[in-house]
This record gives sequence, structure tokens and C-alpha cells, in this order.
Amino acid sequence: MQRLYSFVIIIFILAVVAVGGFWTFRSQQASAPSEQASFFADSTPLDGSTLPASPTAVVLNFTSDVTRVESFTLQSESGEVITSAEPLIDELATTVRLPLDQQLADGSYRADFTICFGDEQCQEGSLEFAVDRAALEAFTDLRGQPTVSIDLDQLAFNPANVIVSPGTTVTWKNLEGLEHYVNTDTHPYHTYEFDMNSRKLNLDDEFSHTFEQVGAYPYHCSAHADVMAGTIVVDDGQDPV
Amino acid sequence: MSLSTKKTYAVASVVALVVMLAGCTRNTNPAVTPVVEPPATQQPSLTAQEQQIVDTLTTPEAPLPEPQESLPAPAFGTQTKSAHFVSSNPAHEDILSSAPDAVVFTFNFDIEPASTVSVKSASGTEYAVGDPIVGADLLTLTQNVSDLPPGDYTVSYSACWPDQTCHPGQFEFALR
Repeated sequence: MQRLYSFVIIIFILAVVAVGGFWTFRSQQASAPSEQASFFADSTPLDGSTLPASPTAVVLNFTSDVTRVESFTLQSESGEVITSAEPLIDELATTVRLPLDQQLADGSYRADFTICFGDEQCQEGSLEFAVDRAALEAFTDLRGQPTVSIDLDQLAFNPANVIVSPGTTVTWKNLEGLEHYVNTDTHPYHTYEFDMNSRKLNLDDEFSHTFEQVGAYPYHCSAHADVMAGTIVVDDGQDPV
Repeated sequence: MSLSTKKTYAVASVVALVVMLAGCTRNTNPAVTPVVEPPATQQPSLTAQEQQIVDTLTTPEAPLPEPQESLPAPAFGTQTKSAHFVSSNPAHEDILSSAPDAVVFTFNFDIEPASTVSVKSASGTEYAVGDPIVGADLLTLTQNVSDLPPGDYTVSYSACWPDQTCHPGQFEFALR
């Protein structure tokens, strides 16, 4: 009889524990604080991308106004911190840039950042990219020319990937009846080289931009962003530090 | 196993089952809602004529103005922006004293007609009327709204680009 009582008590305790556990689980689900959604949108260079030359800056785009840059650093794969100018918040405060005052050598790099938004909501993030100049072998070398022309035709930039000298003015001309654009990366933020942004280009319309700073300038057509892209590399013939 | 042992096992199982079921069904609607009888009204029934007189006496001649102090100060959230968002009118955290006819956005890149805008009150009523209108310069987007009563409003939009990709943004304003 005593064993029976014990059995009943054990069954009862098990039931209470099961029900209690169920309720604890439910209340935890209900009261769990909703995690702040990340305001990070994208970057130039894109996370995981490889550039055919050094970027001129690392540019971060967000979906809310940045109020403060807590930290924003770049380091090589060996852990060497790359010196740079102070990070800047753009006039449209959804963009932060780390201007590079040196040419990055071939290799892998990692940017780490802590960016703060309204009411001091600070968010951490990082991105990695690589520089590999081996890709320049496939580029059209137009160095030494003060002006360079690129056609927009057959849903492509022609030539799509060119090397020019500092101070070169590049002019794009639309040769077909489709609307095209010349827009600096990323799509759709267009923040990397802010003046390298055309509006809609109809047949025979032109757009020009003069490139002063050495580095890689990835760009695209905003009407055909998935298929129509190119890169301008500005090269002064000097090896990176 | 004796009969009394079997009985005890059965009782124990039933007790456990009842406790478990009670726990699991605690948050669900009971199948039978207890009916609470409303207190019997003491008002005698009126004839149609009497009712008309009562209505005339109790209906105010003009609707009373919305008491402005009845609405608490708005608590605005964090604004999110699509790419190319420059400004809006009303802007985030604006507290207006008169109802706007429209919400107007300014972008710094060609906006597409596929873009959408929603203007909702705190209770979720939609006040946007028709599709948003893209300006001739392709840089403005105008969303007409119906008469907004005083309250808190959330504007949610989807800005679309020439390749038809779209990106969301959201801001809030209040009318007092």
C-alpha cells in the first residue's frame, strides 16, 4: 500500500512538473525582449568580394540615421591595423565611410565597426574583402589618355573593365533605345563615389566623371543591375605601400 | 495485481491526466462561456413619440469638438529609411496642428511608380488614398491621404528603383 501511495505521489509530481515547465516555456516566449533589427544594409566593398585594386574607402550603408561612429577599423589578415583618416558620416546620415590614405596591397582585409543610431542604440558588425591585382590582366589598359569613352550598348558597358590614369575624364554614352544608368556601387545606395551617379540616360545621352584618386571604382546600371556592371581602376603606376 | 491496486492506479492516472489537461487548456477559450446575466433594466419602455422627445433632448445640436488634451504625447519610434531618402513632409516626429492632404517624399534618385505608401493610424486604419504619384522630376513621391482625425500615424513605404527592386522605410508623425 505504501508503494502505491508513492506511485500516486510520483505521478502527481511529474504532472505538476510537466505543466509547470510548459507554462514557464510559454511565459519565457512571451516576455523575451524583441531583438533590435540590424540597421546594416550593405557596403562597398561588398562583404566577401574581391577587388582588382585597392578601394579608396570602406563605405557602409544603413537603414537608419547614424548619430555616432563608436569605432570603425580595418586590418590585414596578419592583424596589422591599416591607418586611415577619421571615419565620416555622410550628409545623408545613413552612410559612414572610412577613407583610406594608402593603397592596400594584395591580400585579405577585415573591417570592424560599432555604429550608433538614435537613442544610443549601438550595433556591431564586420565585413571581409580581398584585393587581387591578378584580375587586372583582363582589363582594357587606357592609361595615359586624358579622356576615355565607354559605350552603353547590348545591355553592357563596353569596355566594362578599364584602367585609366589619375585625372582622366570618362564619358559614357547610351547607344541603344533602352534606358540606362551609370551608378557607383552599391545598388541601390550609390554612395561609394558620390559624383559618379548619372540620372536616366536615354539614347545618345552622355554622362562624364573625372577620376582623381587612385583605386578601384565598381559601378553598375540601375535599370539592369543584375547583368550590367563594370569597374574603373585608376592607376598611377606606383606599387602599393 | 489486486483489484484495489488497479483502482488506485486508475485514480492516480486520472488525477495526473486532469492536472495536465487543466494546464494545457488554461490559455485557450473555454468551450462553454459562463453566461453572466445583465442586471435587469429598470427603465420602462417608451412609446415611439416619447422616444423621439428623449432623443431630441439628449442629442447635442452639433458634434462636440475632439478634446485635444485627451490624446497623450506621442511616443515615436526610430525612423528607418530606404536608400536615396532625403526628406519627407510631414517629417518623422512632426506634431501637426492641422491635417495634411498628402505625405510627400523627396529622394535623390529616380523613383519608380511601383513604389507604395501606407499611412496608418495607431488602430491600423489605412488613410492613404490611391497610388502614390511620382513627380515629373522623378525625385518626389506624393501620397494623398483622406481626412486624418487627431492621432498618431505610421507611414510605411516601399521605394522602387529602375530595375524594379524595392526597399522599405518607415516614419511616424502625430496630429493634435
